[in-house]
Amino acid sequence: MSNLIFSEVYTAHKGRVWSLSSRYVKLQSDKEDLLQEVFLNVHKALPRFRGEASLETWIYRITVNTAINYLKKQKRHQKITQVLGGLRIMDTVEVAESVDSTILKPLEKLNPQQRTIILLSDVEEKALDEIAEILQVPVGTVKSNLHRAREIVKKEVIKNEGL
Amino acid sequence: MKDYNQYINELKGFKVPVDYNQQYQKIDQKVSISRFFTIPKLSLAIASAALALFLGFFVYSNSLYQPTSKNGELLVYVFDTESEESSPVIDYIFEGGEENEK
Repeated sequence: MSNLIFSEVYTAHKGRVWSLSSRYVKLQSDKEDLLQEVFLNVHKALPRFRGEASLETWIYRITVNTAINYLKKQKRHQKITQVLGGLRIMDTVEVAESVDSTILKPLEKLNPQQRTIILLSDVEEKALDEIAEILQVPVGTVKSNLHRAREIVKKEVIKNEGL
Repeated sequence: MKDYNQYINELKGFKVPVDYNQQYQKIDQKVSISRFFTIPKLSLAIASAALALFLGFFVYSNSLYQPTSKNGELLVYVFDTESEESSPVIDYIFEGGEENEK
């Protein structure tokens, strides 16, 4: 697929992708990095897009998968940094608490799938069947995960307010 | 006390600014870099096959110009074939013809 079409896809979906992906990570540099990674994956996969799902659903799927992989990568990196920090090989960098980290804190207690479901359902206001299509899981799984995720976030909101 | 809906509304209202044009340029740069390093699989297969053919031909054509014996050693080839033939003249020379005559 030509660059021209990719640029059209970027123009049409950049806002949606940013809105979702920027709520996965705290730092601005990570948010931008994640956005770039999502569209790199879109660019790679665009020639294979067969239109079985709508373009929007397909892009959401790529966004979610890329974000989940990004979180996993970050977690691995954090563990290595902690180990090296403990061995005094590397200095651990303390990330300054920002508005981002405060507002995203309750979501940190969720696993990547629960976080995705909360963001898609309650923030992006997607229907449950659409979320099921994006995540390629049964609607029942989305419902049960959403219920569990809401309970966790409710508890976290109360806990963080007391701090 | 802040409840769940309040928190979700805050989350919805929380929008981080971004320069989309600058991001597009960075994506474009990364695309060109990945394009440079990604060799198409078909080209790679054709190049490997051509290299294998070339090397095969080189090894084969080299073998045509080098005389080899059964054991692969040139001197063994010369002496073995001479002795195998057991010509009377050669026998005469190597086994001492004069002694035999006596």
